[in-house]
Amino acid sequence: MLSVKQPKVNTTLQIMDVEENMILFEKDEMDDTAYFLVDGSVKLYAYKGDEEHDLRHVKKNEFFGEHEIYSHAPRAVCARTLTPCKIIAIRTEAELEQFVSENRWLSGKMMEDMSQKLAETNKAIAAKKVADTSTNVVLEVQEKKTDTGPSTRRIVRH
Amino acid sequence: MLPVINAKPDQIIFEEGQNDHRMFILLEGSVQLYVTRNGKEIDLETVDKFHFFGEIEMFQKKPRTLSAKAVTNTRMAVIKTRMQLEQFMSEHPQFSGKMTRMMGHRLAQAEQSIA
Repeated sequence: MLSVKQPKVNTTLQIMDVEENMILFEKDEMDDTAYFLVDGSVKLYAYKGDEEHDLRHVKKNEFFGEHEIYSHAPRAVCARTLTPCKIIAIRTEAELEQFVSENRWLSGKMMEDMSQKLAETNKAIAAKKVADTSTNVVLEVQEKKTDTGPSTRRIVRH
Repeated sequence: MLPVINAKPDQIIFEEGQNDHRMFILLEGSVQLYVTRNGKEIDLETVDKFHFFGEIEMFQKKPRTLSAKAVTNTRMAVIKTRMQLEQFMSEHPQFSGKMTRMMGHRLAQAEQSIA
């Protein structure tokens, strides 16, 4: 027989029943809530002009919207229920930390996703820092040029 | 019990490109994470006591994307495999929550710095 894992929910968190086709959040909204889908299906999407573009279908036992709980940035995408759903809304980092600690089986996927994004972001930071260093070198040489009169030398580090 | 290793200032713990999937929890000292471009070290982050590093490659199973070296005299607990990490988290249930939180912060900060 297949056993279906259910998250352990502590007393401060509640499972909400949400109807089909309900918008949970929209792009650019300031909302730090992380969501955990206990049952049902949720769509993450963005608009290109007036058209909706699907980005991800959230499945049972997956988090969504969790990034903003740490970044406090406006929502990057929209989220809407596709079916009647059971959802846990997690409003603080402490609540999320406790929820993950009590449901350790959920942490692996979450950490895997974050490590993937971290690897990509580190690469972008390194590229940006290299570009910044090159700009500084050019500026330094240009400043020297002003100090010492005309010069045709220009150093650009790639 | 996890094995503990020591490193002296400037000692390299791992280097970019290495096939090394270990993760480290810093017990004492601090560690610099950096990449080398055109022979120059570019600092990405300094990791302090009770924080961890090297987790990206443990999850991604890919060569190191950056290098790490000790800034001061350093003591680190070493987690060699995903299985060991799972075991450690089952013995210390709060760690999974804390690790998720730290990774979330690290990612948010990293994204902010390239925004």
